[in-house]
Amino acid sequence: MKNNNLAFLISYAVRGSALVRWIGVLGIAGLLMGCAFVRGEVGEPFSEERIKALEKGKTTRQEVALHFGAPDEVVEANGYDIFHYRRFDSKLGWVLFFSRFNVGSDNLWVFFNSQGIVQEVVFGNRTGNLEFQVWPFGE
Amino acid sequence: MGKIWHCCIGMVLIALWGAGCDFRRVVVNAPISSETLQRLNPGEDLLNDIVQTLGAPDEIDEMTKGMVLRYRYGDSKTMRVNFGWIFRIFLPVVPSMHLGRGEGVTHVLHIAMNGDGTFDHYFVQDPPAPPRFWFWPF
Repeated sequence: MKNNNLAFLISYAVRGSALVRWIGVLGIAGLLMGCAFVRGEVGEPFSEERIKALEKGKTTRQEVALHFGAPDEVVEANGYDIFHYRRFDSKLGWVLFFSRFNVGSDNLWVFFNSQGIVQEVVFGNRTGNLEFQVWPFGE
Repeated sequence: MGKIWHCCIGMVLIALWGAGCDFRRVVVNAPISSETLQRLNPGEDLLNDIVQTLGAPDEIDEMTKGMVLRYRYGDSKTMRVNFGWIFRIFLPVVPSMHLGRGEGVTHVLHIAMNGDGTFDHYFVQDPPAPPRFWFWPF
């Protein structure tokens, strides 16, 4: 009787449903490697309100520095002094032996005329669409 | 042995083989398509038009007349195989026998602006070959 019960258990484990088998395979794979989802951010996000507060022909260099802090870079081009602010966001997805690390950057450029008044504001958000991805192949 | 046993053994062997492999990819920003660039009109488009089409540049540099906007897109692929991993079946300590290789490329897009602030021309500096996954380092 005991032998019959044992045989039944083994046959159940081996012949178990596809779901049971997959859980077993995933369990083994999980024990072997594991997975990770990690996010890293450098710099503070540029909120829409803060960017809207920059008024062309009105806001001064000092006010910009007060709102956004010291720029990461100051560039001189085409007669403008330009303050450059950067922000980086990164997302890493890692499952078993596949991993993908996506990095995106937001850039804010503030152009000043010779009087130190804001002439142009250029902002690009590339971190908004950043995704956690695991599959490293393809696009 | 039954079909299910073969299947299970196969899956375990695949998992063990795979556990000794490593595929990693790092992507910095998204590529800009050539269709997007064709929408730019030389002598007409201003800085704001460029930014609406392509987003804010990663770099701005001065030229003798005007300035150049620079966009960067990076892609790197690394593959590593640990041939010692298979010994974990037989040995208590897993010896490290790695072979690996990484390839990285950067695509650069230059947008030249005239002294009057209008778009002049663009140039895409593509790398000679896209990166690929391969473990052989020699």
